[in-house]
Amino acid sequence: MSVQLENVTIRYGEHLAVDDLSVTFHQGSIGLLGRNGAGKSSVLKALLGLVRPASGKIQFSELPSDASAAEVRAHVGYMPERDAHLPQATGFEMVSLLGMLSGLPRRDAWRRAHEVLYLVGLEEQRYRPVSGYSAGMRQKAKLASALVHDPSVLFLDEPTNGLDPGGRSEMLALVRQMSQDLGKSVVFSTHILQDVEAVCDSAIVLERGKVVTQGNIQDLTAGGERELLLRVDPAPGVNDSAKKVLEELQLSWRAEAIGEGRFAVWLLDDQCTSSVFAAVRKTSATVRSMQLKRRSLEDVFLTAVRGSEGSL
Amino acid sequence: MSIAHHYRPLDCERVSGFQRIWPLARQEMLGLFRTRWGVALYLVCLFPALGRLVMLLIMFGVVQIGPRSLQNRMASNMPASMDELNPARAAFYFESVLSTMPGMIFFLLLTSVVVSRCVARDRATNALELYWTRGISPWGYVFGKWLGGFLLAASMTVGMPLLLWISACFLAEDWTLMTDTIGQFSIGLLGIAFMTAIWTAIGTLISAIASSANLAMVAWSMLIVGSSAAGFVVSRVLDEDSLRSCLSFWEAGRVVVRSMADLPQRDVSVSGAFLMLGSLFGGLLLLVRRRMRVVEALR
Amino acid sequence: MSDSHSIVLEFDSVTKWYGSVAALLDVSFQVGNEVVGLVGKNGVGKSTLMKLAVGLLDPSQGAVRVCGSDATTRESRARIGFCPDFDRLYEPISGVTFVAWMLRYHGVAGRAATERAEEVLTELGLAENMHRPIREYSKGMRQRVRLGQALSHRPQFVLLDEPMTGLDPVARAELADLIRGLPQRGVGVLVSSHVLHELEAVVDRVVLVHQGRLLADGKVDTLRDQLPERPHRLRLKGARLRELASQLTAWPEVDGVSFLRDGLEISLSGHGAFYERFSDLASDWQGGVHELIPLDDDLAAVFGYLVE
Repeated sequence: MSVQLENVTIRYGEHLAVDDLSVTFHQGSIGLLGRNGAGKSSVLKALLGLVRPASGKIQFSELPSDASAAEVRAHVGYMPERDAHLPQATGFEMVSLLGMLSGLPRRDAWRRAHEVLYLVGLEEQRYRPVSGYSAGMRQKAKLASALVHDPSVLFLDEPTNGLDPGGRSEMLALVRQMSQDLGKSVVFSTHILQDVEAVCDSAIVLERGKVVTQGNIQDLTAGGERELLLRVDPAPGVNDSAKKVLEELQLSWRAEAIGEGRFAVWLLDDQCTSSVFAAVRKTSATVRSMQLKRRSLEDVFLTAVRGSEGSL
Repeated sequence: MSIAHHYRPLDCERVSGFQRIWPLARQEMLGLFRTRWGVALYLVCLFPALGRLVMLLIMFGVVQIGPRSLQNRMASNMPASMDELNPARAAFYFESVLSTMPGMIFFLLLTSVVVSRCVARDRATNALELYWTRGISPWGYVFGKWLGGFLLAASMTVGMPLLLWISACFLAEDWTLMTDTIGQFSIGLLGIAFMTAIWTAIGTLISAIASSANLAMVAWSMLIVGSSAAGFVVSRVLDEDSLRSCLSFWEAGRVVVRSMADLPQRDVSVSGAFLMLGSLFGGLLLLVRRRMRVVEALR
Repeated sequence: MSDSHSIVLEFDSVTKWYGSVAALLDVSFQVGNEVVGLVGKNGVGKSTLMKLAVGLLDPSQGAVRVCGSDATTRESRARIGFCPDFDRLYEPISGVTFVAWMLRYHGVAGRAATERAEEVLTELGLAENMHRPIREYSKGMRQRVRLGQALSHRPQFVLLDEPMTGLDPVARAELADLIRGLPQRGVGVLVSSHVLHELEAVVDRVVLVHQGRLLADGKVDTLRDQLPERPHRLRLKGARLRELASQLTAWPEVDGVSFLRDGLEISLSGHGAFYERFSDLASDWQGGVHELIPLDDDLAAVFGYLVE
């Protein structure tokens, strides 16, 4: 299911949070990025039907356009950023109650709660009170609550908050499963851009209520020229191997040394990389790694946001 | 962990409206019984009614405890002024609930632990952000919370008098007790149910406004006890008894029920009682509307 | 890396018992005039280490020293700055008032405290907002107030616990610059964080703690090479992947080849002559090899291996 926002404006009293925003969240995973106060949470609230836009339209592809907010929320899953759990409930009780509140009949809610708790990896703790869970387990419980009613659209707000590196990679793997294997539309809102690079297909950057940049992550982070970054192991027993490698490379291309054993080579279009390998091999050195230089998503973000400071 | 095995797309008819809210009410109603302390508290709150039951058993001679003279006195007919101690009068069955002591105190004990904290506790653990992003509206959530608290309180305020009355009907020699009291009793019981609904609604609304569970408990206790004391003092100072029902939260409810059941009472102002409860309810409703602007839950 | 006479924090064979549970076992490392990252799973070991480092606990065995003297002494308190990860500040007062107030615990009061508070908050970029009440601050500003409180008494060692939580990328970049600049001002820094790639951008060295023991201590690059027996993982992109795969599986150093969405993942056991042979193969490969990337050169992968 995809979600489309058309010319949406959201106001809180005098403050303009979202300004004439038009964007579509397709299937797959999208990173929703922006500074604090850029309007991300307002967009999420509007999509959840918790805030009514001052103008504009929000359309879910598989729901009627006059669906009530409660109906919309029954098909949308939300994982809040802040710590949230039901007091006194066990993991299973929490997830099944929330499922029933989303419209599941009792038996289905119970069955789904078990399935979803297995999916996120909480099967052994599901009968223990959520108030006793560790931070990582609570995040998983929140994710399970978001999934229990099998929504086709998922909003995840900082899902890796407070998780240690192992927990973080588990969570990211789960998110990837959601979008790739289970075919859900996942909107991933976070400040940790490397997570978005690892998991999402596309990204949208908001600043002061407007979209400043959006698109496929591969496209956004594509480097300009065909700049190759090489890491080279020196030839054994040869002094000045790095210098020799650089000289050999510079015979055919523009090349620079950018660190210990690291080089940047600018290829002309249509040139094959095998000649680079060959050049390095001529000096008896070995290529350790090679890739096209890409911009990091962080660079894209900072450029977009700082660039808009001048124009807004 | 294989996805295909564990996670299947969901294929069921969604339920709507009340059926979604009922599990919430049920959880609220039964939440007290999850711990031993909760069960103990509930049993303690049933004490007055159980005491009355024992009194009934003594009066009908089923159980022989206490000195013979007391038993004889209790078994004989009492003058009308002691209606509350006469099982042949409907007032006997309501007394444990409506009296200040023990009725109000035990009601306060039960509701301050359950009803006054119901929403505030969820606010403290940020459960509101989970509840309000489900397929129910925030007012549906408040309604569900109220319903659970009401059913729990009603098991005490409505269930116990009913139990007492049914026991008395069976313990009596013939059905005259039943036929004499059924009219007043059933209307009175309805009145108590109505009052319990109003009281618990006010408690739930206070819970929705307060920023912490403790604050809610304190506010609720002060409302009941404080207004009772205020009503007492003011009516004494101004020497106007009918003011009590206009100022005291508990008195107002009591007056309304008694007038509905046509029980004799004097120097009371029924309209004042209705006014007081109505304006309290309405005022709190407006405050809750403001407090519960959903934006706040997700700030 | 760290001069012996400017060692700011030293753990010397530190062991800490809670009853019969060993929270830390024989941990030794040093922090000099540099930024060191502390990495480890959430658990008793890491938080115990942090409390020992700021002098809140005594070690059961061994010693924790700050600038040469024991960390729990009063004079050490003056040299330690601690920026914890919980976000509780007094909301109604201004940032300056808060920092000046905390300075009183270090014996600075009155006019001097306020001046120093203003100075440190200006350095941290809060010049315009420092007189406003804290409840009006954004997350980034609150973080700076906490950092200001940790730096205001001119400590020589600062412990930062998850300083980037909740900050947007712009604020993160600014804070990273700030942290990187601290050693130049004579402050040694220990940063604890779970966001490993951010840590890599900020720190010179990394210390890994797992189940109470020190697993690794060094620069990220060199850490990887300290584990020769672990297989390497590489990602390959290029033309004619199937042929490439069938050729590579025959090589002795190649443990396994699997197909990804748009490339191959190769796992190696030991380096052997793989890279040489591969460079030869690639220099002659029709269609070319577009990409050869090691998948386990970053801190997250090193951590994953060590913790397995």
